Formats: sequence, structure tokens, C-alpha cells
Amino acid sequence: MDREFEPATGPSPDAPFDERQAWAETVSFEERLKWAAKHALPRTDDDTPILVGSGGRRATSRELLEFIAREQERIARGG
Amino acid sequence: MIDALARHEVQYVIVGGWAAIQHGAVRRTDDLDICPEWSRANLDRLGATLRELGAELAISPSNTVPVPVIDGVLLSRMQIGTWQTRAGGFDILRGIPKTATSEARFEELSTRATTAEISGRAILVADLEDVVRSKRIADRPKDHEALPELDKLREAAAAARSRDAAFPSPPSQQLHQPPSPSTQPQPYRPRKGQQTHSLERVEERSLPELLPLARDYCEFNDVDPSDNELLALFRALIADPTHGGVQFLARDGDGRSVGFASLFWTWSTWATGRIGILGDLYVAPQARGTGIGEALIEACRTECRAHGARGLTWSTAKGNVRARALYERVGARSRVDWIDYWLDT
Repeated sequence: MDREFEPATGPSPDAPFDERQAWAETVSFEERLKWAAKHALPRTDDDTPILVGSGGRRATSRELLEFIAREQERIARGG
Repeated sequence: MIDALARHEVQYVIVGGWAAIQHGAVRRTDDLDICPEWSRANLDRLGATLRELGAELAISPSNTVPVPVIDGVLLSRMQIGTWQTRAGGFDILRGIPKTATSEARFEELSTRATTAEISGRAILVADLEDVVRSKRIADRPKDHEALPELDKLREAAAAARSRDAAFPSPPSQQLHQPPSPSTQPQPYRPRKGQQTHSLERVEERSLPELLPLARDYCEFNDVDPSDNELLALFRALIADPTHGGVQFLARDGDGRSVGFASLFWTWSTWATGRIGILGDLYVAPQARGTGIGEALIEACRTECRAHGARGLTWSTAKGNVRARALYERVGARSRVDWIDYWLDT
């Protein structure tokens, strides 16, 4: 969510579907995005990278650091 | 982020939470998830976007690391890349789950995507069906949490489609008409209550409703192609909206199909880039004067912006005063000193 979006008013995140939907019908896409950012949840273990060829497995922090190092070497070599 | 993506001319479709929100969901998310077109050139542009945004790779839920140089090759080696930028979370997905063993990528998603606007910029947003299917297959706890709401929205959309199908196409006639030519994709659906009509991108299921409108349009232009020829053209566009073009079908407030527009892609040296040609524009007589013509043009214009096209062009008969008034009204300007030519091939 772009930081320049102002905080939005709206329903409680725990409000029932009908109440949230009634609000959503009255506001624009951008307004709903503002609300989403205001009430955003932190990243979870399901929000980390997957490297190609890993069979869809989330990469570990160590694997990712090694990946970044390899890629920076490749780029430095002009590859 | 949207501005930065536009500045770098990145081609992408929005998926994930933002897409769900565009379709009416009230979701809690700070992450922009996109499926970019997976070419080296586009990923290089995406890498430049990430650098501009000061992106760091999120290697765990609470830890990010800087990546000094981000090029297209590096991005292509991540099936999913999770980044943290100055503007928020930014996740880059090669595709979203289509089946347990396959994924839908940009090329497929864009043919069904809708067009939305953020900060005055047109963006492609994955179709609700694609979003729901991907979350069902991804099967993460937060996907489970999202699905009940998305299923309700999906049911509501299906009910609306059934209602539409209950109305046969109206007898239509000819109308404003720009000329001929080609197309490319994306649906545009004004939010309920804001307008009394709606537009949708033409898909296979739309063809029974599009065909009679196209027949009336052809009759007005004194040409008589067969139904099979017309359907072959429509299907060619549906099959390759990225290079061919897109068509939009307009419905009135009662859900009846009352008009269509065809947008075709081509290139222009003098415009130094891709441009759109408004090949066809038709509104049935009973629906004229209701703003549908303007909406169809605006949908094509929005589509051009989303596709990186520099402009939208078309031609019309000098004597078609009504159509010309519409074109002037939407801000188009004619080149009075130019003459159109046509050569049979």
C-alpha cells in the first residue's frame, strides 16, 4: 500500500460480512485499499520467497542469503 | 508503487489481496501482489522499479536484506519474490495456482482481467474466479480465512450473470461507427450505483450476445460477412488479446447487451510506440444518448493506458455528425487535413 494514501475510516476488521460489504459498496477501490493498509496484518511464514526449481518450497533465510550472494557475483561478472 | 511501475512501463496483473479488494472484498493487507509479464526486458524494468522503491528482500516475516543490484535474471529465478519497499510490501509472483500442478501467468490472467484505476492510473486486476481458485489451491491459513467472503462475492457475481443471461439480446440497429480494424483486452465495470450500465470484456460466453450487435453494425456499414467469419475474428482476439486486441460489450441497467467496441493494437513510428485503433463502436438505437458510447471509448482509452499504448485513433464518415459530436465530447481531436486510404490485398 502506498504510504501516501491517507488512513481511512470504515468498519471494524471483525465486523460481519454484511456490514463490511455495505460499507464497501459505498466507497471506491482506493478507499478500500486505504482501509486494508490501515488494518494490515504482519507478514507470516507463508509470505517468504520461493526459488525456481525448489518444488514450491519456501526458501530458508540461509538459502536466500546464498542466492543473493550468487546473483550479485553473477551480475558483477557481467552475466 | 503503482506510479513507479507505470514510470518503468512494467506490464503486470494485480493478484492477491488487492485483487480481492477490487472485486469488493474487505481484506486486511498492505502487500501489493503482481504477476508480471515474464520476459527478460519486462523483468529488467521491474528490477529498476524495485531499486527506485528501495526494495529489500523479505527473507523471513521479520527480516529483510538489501539486494544491491536487481536485474531481470535475478527476478526470473524467484517463483515468488517477497519484497519490502518504502511504499509497503511488494510481492512478485511468476503465476498464481491454477491447478495443484500448474499456474496461471500474466498472458492467461490478462485475458480475463478487469481494469481498475488507482491514483488516476489504469491497472489490470485478475478476475475474481482466478483469485478464488488460486487461494483455494494455495491453501494457506490466510487463504482459508479469505475464502468465505470471496465465495459470497463470487456467488453474487454468478447471480448477476444468470440474470443477464435471462435477457435475450435486443433487436439492435446501427449507430455511431468508427471504422474497422483490430483489438486487445480488459474488462471495465463501473461500480454499482454509479452508472446505469456496465461493460465487460468479450469472452467466449459473450459471443451469442455480441454477434447480433455486430451483424447490425455490419449492415449499417453495407457489408455482409458470415457469422462464421465474424466469430473467427472475435475468437482470434479472445485467443491473443496481448497482440491482437480486445472487445468490450456494454449492458444497459437491465443487463441487456446494447453495444460493443473493438480495440486493436498496432505500432506507430511517429508516436514512437504501440497505439490502439478503435476499430468498431456500436450502440443500439434504444440505448443511444445514455452515455454508453462515452463509456466504451473510455474503456478503450483505459485499456490503452494499461497496455502502454501512446494513444487511441479511429476514423469516421464526415457526415456522421452524431458520432463526431460524441468524439469531440470525449476530447478527441480530428486531423482535418488527413485522408484515409484503403488498398485491397
